[in-house]
Amino acid sequence: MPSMSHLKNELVDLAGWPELAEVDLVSVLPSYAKARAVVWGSVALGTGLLVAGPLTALAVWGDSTPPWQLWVILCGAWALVMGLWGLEEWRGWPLRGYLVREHDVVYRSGWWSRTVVAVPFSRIQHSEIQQGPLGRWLGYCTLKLYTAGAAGANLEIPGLSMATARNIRRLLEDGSHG
Amino acid sequence: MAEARFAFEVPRRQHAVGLLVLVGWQAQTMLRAAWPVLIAAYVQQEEDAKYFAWAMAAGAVLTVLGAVLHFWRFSFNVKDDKFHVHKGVFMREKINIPLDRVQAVHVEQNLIQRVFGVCGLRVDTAGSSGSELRIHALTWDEAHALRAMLTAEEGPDKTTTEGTSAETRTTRGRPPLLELDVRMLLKVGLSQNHIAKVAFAIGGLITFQGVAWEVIAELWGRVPGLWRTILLFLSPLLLVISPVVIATVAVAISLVTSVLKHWQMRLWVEGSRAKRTAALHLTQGLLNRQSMQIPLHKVQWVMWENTWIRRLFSMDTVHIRQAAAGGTVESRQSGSGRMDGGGAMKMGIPAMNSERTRRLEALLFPSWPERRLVTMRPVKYAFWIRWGKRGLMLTPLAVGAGWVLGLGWGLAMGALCWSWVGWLSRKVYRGQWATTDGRHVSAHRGWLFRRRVMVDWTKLQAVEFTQNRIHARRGVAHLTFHTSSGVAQLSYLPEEQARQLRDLAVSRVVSHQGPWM
Repeated sequence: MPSMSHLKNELVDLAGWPELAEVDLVSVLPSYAKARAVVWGSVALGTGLLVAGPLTALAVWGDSTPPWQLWVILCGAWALVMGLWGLEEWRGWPLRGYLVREHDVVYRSGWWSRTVVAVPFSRIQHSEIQQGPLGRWLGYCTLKLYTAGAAGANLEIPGLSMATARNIRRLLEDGSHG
Repeated sequence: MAEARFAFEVPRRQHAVGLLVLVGWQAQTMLRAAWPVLIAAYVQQEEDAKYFAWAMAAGAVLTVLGAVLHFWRFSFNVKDDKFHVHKGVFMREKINIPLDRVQAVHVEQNLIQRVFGVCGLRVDTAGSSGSELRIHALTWDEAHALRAMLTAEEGPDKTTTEGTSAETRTTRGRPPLLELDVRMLLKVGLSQNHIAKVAFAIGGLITFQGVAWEVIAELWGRVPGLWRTILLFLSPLLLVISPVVIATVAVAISLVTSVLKHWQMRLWVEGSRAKRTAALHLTQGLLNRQSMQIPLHKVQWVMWENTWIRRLFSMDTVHIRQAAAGGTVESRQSGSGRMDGGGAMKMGIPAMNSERTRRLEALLFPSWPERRLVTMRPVKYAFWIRWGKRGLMLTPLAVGAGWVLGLGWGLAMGALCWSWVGWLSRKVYRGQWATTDGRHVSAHRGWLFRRRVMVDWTKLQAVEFTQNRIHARRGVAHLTFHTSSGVAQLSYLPEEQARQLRDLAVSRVVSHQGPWM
């Protein structure tokens, strides 16, 4: 039987492993909700104008008025898409949250399709704090945690205050590895 | 010791022949980039012949100049447990790679390199910028000595290892894991996925049909009258023959490519576990020779795959991946390795039967199974949802049939589609299961094309838990285990089980003390 001395293969107490209680999740800053609302609103306005503009122009200056079915179909599709997106944002907001534990970071997001990602501290290769114009205006930033290899394992936590993001980062640097 | 003969301490350039190899390599890339220009120039040859010649000359000069500059400015050495590379013509680049970050080192020899008796070296680090390193020309012995230096890890573990004689003994004397003889090689060729080659075969036939028609027309003139009628009578047979011809060509293509690729393939393990030098070695190739090496403890992700043909021969193909530069994992599930780019750095081993698979498992996952295995199956809902989705996708066909041929035919078509899809979904559902021993997970999926992915939880990068609203209501969830070179997915698990598995996996990562790559 080959043994691997470099892998210290201790037994794990199966009954005692830390369970992730999702009620403990910390919700992100309300200003981030504002930012998402702004994005949603501007996209809704923009696409709404894109849909209604040409139709109105056609009705006013065109040779023939567009059939009312066209109005119904286009505006219906617009309302449906924006409504579903809005619902996702509205219902998903209270679910959005993160949790920093002793050894890992957990982030949950999504209403329709809910995702919970857990990244252990010891696997984080580098981190990045990002603040765009919207974030600077409303006062939030995004913490990006990069792991090795595939992009699917990277974690992005948006809507943190600068202080929180820096603290999480400091926690990472403080050698809580392992 | 092999290393002693070669001095890698001081910065040095590649072998002088490297210049020629580089010229060839650069010419190839130049041609690949510039062929539309060349064709355009060739077409206009009549009036612009001299421009064409000038362009060719300029291209040649640029190629040679580029190769010389690249050769001149490229130097490397190994010092203080680091691999240093200086390169770049206009932008000087200094690369320092700590030796314990080297994931895999492959030696390869293409045709040009073989003519000049040198070989190339590729070093893969798990850097996120996707910069694996390439040296184009070293002598065979130099390359192997350099590889031995790069993979001999002087980690902190070395002093603490209690080297019992049984463990420090190298495994050089042991028989190889796999040696492909000609018969097995033919089997490997025959069990390839031929469908991918059918397109090539059809393309080839279309290309050569012009010639074929000329030959036939020529022959037709010589055939006596009576035979002409007989031949005309038999001509519908051509329709039957052409698929056979295409299939034969496709099989021949896979035979030739796999013989070229896996010629004299040999797989063995060398080095000692205690010193962390144990590595999986693989050599293969008829024209382009490859010699790959992955240290056993750097293996992150292992996948076995087979098709129904391969199951007939009881031969799986196994893909072994170390942490890859830039996380080069193309589309999540596809295991088809391309020869260019990151594809060449992946180790793919054909002809693994169950006995060799057991041996490989024992090597790569020595603690598997750590304790009693637990089997996990998706809930029945996975089958229903798959059947429903696939059935709805085919329903337009039935509606179309009903529209054109009448209600009876439509109903019959619908029944046929739904039962076919149901049968298929059931097969797929049955083929989807996973086992875990509390440290590793081995996930199976697929029916006609089966895959089995195995990962060690202590090497995980992240664990992802996903469910949508309907899943949440039904208490179902998906789990994705991310490693640095691939994922293992468990779909449609009972929610409670998924949560427990996630927490267990994360706690395995956290409680793991040793290095993971």
